[in-house]
Amino acid sequence: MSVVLASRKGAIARSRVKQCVAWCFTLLGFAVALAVAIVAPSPAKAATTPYDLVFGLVGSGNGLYAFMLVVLMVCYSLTPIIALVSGRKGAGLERYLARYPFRIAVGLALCLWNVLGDVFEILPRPFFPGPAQIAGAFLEDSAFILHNTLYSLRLFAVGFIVGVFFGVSTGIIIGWFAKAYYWVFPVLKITGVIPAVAWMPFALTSFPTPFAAAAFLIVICEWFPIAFLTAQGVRSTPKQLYEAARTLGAGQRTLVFRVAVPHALPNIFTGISTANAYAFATLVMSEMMGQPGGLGYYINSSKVWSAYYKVFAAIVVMAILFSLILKITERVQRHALRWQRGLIQ
Amino acid sequence: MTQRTSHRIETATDVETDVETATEKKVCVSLRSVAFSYSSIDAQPTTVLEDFNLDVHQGDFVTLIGPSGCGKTTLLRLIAGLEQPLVGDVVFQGQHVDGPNHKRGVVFQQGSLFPWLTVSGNVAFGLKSRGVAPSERTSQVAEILDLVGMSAFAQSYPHEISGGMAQRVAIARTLVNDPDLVLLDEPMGALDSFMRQSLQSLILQLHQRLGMTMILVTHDIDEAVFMSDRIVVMTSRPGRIIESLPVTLPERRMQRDRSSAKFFEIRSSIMTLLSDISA
Repeated sequence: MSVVLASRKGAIARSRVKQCVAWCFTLLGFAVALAVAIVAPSPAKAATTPYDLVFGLVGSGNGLYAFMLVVLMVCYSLTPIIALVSGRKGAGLERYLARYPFRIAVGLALCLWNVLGDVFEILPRPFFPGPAQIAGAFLEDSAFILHNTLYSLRLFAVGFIVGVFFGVSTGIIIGWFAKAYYWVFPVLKITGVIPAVAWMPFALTSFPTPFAAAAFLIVICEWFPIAFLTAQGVRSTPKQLYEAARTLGAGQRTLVFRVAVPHALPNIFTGISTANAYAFATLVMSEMMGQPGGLGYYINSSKVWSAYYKVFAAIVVMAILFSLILKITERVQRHALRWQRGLIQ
Repeated sequence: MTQRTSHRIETATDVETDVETATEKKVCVSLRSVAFSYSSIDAQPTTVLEDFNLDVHQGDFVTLIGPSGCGKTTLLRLIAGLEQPLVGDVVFQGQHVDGPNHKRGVVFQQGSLFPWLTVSGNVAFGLKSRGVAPSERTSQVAEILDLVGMSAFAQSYPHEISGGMAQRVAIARTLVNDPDLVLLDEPMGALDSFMRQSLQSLILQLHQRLGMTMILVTHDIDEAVFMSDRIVVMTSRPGRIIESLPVTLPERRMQRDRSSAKFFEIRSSIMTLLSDISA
C-alpha cells in the first residue's frame, strides 16, 4: 500500500518536474531573443529614436521590442502559473506545455530576424527591417496607426453587417421561391466569380464618398457567397421537417424562419467565413486605391517614403485584427451551432 | 349519409353492430369516394387509391395494415391534409380538409424532430407557432414530457437521445397541441422489438388517458392486433379495403393479451387475408 503511494507520489513529482522543464523550454526561445535584444540593441535610426510615452517614460523601438518579448513570456506563463497556484493538474496543462517546440522556434526565429535585420542590418535595406525597427514604427506613428486601424475596422464593420444582411435575405428569397431561384441564381453564379475590386471604377464614380464605395465592394464580397450558400441550405431542408412543422400548426412565416433558416444556418456560417477572406483582401486593396485612411492607405503612404518598417507594422496590425475577427466569428458560430456538437466531427 | 358510407365498406363484418356504434359514436373523420394518384413526368400516373371510403369514429384506435404500396401512408397524408385527393372528399369533424391543422397531429416514422432544437424546444414548437404565451408554454411542455417520461432529457438535442426516446418526443410534440386525431405513420418501424413494445404500451396508455382518436399505419400484424379497436386490411394498386375487423380483446390491453387465444385467432385471420392478397 505504502509502496504504491510512494510510487504515485514519485510519479506526481516526476510529472511536476517534467512540467517545469516544459515551461522553461516554452520561454527559452523568447529569453534568448530578449537577451540578444538587450545585449545588442539595433543601431538603426528607426529603432533608436526615443519617443515620449505615458507617465514621463521615454522609449525606443529597441525598448518596445524587448518589452514585447517580456509580455509574450508573461502571457505564456499565465496558464502554468494559474494551474500551479490553483493546484489543479489536468490534461489541459499537459497539452499546453507540450506545445513548447513551436514556441522555442518562434522565439529563435524572432532572435534571428532581429540579428539579421536590426543588429547587423544584413538583410536588404530598407526593404526588410527587423522587429525592433517595426516596433519603432508603432512608437513613431502610434496615433496615426490607431486612426487607420479604426478606419479599416469601421469600413469592415459596415461592409460586413450590410453584406451579411443582404446575403442572408437574398439567400432566403431565392432558396424559398422557385421563381426567384430560376431568375436570380444564374446571375448570382456568374457575378459571384468576379473579384469585387473589379467593380472599383464603378463604385468610385457611383458613390458619393470613397468610404461608401469601399463599403459597397465589401458588401459585394460578403453578399454573393453568403446568398449562394444560404439558398442551398434553404433548398436542402428535408421535406419531412416542413411537413412535421405544418402538422404542428406552422404557417408560412414559421416554415421560413423557424425551419428553413435554422436548417441553413451551418451553410450561412460557411458563407460568412468564406466571404470574410475575400472581404479582407478587398478591404486592403480598396484602401490602397483611393481611400483617405485605413491600413491599406497607411501601407501605400509609407511605401512612398520607403518606410518599409511601417509597412510591416501595418501587416502586423492586419494579422492581429483579422485573426481576431475570424476568432470572434468562430466563437459566434460555435455557439449558434452548438446543437451540431457531437453530430459532426 | 354516414351510415350509407360505413355500410358500404363494412360489407364483410357484422353490419348490425356497426350501425349501432355509428349511432352512439360520432364520426371523427371520413373519406368519401377518394381517389389519388401520383403523377410522374415520364411514366403513367400511378393510381394509389380509387373510390375509397372509410369512417373512423371518435375515440377509436384504428389500424391500417396491408402490403407496401397499398396506399396506407397516402391515406394518412390525405387525412393529415398534406395531400389533396384527386376525387372525393376528406371530412374531419364535419369539415372539409384542405390543409394540415394542429388538431390532426402526425407522428412520423423517424427523423422528423428539428435537430437544432432541444427536446423541450421541439415540443414547444407547435405552441410557439400558435402564439401560446411563454409561461403557459413551459408548463405545458413540462407536463407532456413528464407524461412520456422524457423530463430528464428536456435539454438534450435529438442526436443525443436514442431512436425510441426520439419517438417519445415526437409523440409529446404532437400531443402538446391537444389534437382530436393523432395519425401514426409507422412510428415504431425503425425500433428494436423491446423499444417497440414499450412505445406501444405508452401510446395505448396515452390513448386511454386522453381519449383522442388514433389512426395507425403499420405492417406489423402483432402490433396492429395489440393496439387497435379496429383493423382495416388493405390491398394494393389501387388501394382498397378488403376487410375491416373489430378487435374483441379487452378494452384495457395488457402484455399478457399478446399470448391469449383471441389474439392468435385475430392474428391468423389477418394473416390469411394478407396471404390471399399476395397469392
